[in-house]
Amino acid sequence: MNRIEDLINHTENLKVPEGRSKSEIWADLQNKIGDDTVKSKKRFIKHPVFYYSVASTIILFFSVLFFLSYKNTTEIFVQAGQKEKVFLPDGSEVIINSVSSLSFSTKKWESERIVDLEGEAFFNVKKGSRFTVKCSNGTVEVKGTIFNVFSRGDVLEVKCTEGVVSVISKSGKTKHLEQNLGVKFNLDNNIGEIFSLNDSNTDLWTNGQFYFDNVNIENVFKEMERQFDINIQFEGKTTRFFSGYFTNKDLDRALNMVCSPMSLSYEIENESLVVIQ
Amino acid sequence: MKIIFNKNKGVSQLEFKSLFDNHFDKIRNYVYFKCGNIEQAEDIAQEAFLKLWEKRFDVKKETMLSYLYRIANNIFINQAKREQLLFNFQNSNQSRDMDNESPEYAMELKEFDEKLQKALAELSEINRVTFLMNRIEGLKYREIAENLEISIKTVEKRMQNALSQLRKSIEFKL
Repeated sequence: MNRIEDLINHTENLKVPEGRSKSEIWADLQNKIGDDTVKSKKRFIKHPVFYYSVASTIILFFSVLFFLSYKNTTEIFVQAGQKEKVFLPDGSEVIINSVSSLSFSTKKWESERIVDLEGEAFFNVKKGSRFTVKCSNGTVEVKGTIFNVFSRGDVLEVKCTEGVVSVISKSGKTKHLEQNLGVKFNLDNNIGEIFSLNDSNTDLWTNGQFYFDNVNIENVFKEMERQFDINIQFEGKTTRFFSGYFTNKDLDRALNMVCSPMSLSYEIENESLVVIQ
Repeated sequence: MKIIFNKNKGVSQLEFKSLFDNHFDKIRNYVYFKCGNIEQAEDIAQEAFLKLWEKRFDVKKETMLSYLYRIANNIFINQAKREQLLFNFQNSNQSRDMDNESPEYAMELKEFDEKLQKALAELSEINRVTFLMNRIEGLKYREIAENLEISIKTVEKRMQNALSQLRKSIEFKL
């Protein structure tokens, strides 16, 4: 009898066998998270319910817009760490970046297409009458094109992927942009320098890739704060400039991509604070 | 009208990483207790975390762990090929014993091990999982109850059943 109990108690000495290492599994998991859009697409297609739900979502969305169009303005605010794709009443498509807001009057939409933007958004505008994007530091006017607007702090930057875009700075300076050109206004530099774009990379951020060409390091970290919904305490020199990119899939990797070429070191203090030296 | 996209009620990347670090082993072991195949257990546990990531905006933080157990169980049920259970537990104090004891003792220990693992494999699945979560993972009855979303009474009952089943099948083998 005793021996039986001994044997049973022996269970406590057992250990689950070891398989792959945890870091290996985590890396694998990271990869799978990376292409989750592809994966979920595949999975959804199996279910016919998917099509119904898509159809009903679209109908619901437009009916809500229609209903609200009898009323007032629509304001869309996207929080840190997220991006949202929305359709305007005319079918134009806007992808709004983290910590940005977009608003428009649904009542007046029929007569004039005007949206207010704070932050950054990528526009694919349906052809038609004039379409205006108003920012705190300037205005962008188009007819039907694809373009990206970045308006934060002192900076207004517009990149045109298709068609023609007019940019009017706060002080009244107008610049016309054709395909694959961009313009950047700074508060201290109101000239509005036009630059050409390398292979239409205006919308890379919508896929989670953030490219920087000689951008102040502080602004790079600000973008990172918005993308990952974290606070970055930067204790280095702020007069440095960064060229390169990061992706918003993995914070650790993103920090590495920016910090190692600048020979900065970082430390993730807790879930919302990163210290960089 | 104001639309605010605030999905941040869900899990952030950093939180997800710490969830993984803290709970991956538990989930993998839980599946191992069911299937006795470490590769399968790892794959299912990994898939469970992937599912959690996909559902990260719909899950409440407090129920996250029991949710993981539940998904792992569902995946297991869906894909389980009911093969002959063959456990391959390792002995955590084997190396120490090997040094000090005679070869006869080592032999006996090995035999001991085999008998026990066979007896464990013969337990019904729910009893075995509960029993091993307690004995190997060292989880308290209350923790097991919370993770599997069952009552403490049920855990006690399963433990008793597991013990009496084990006693019977070992008695028969000895």
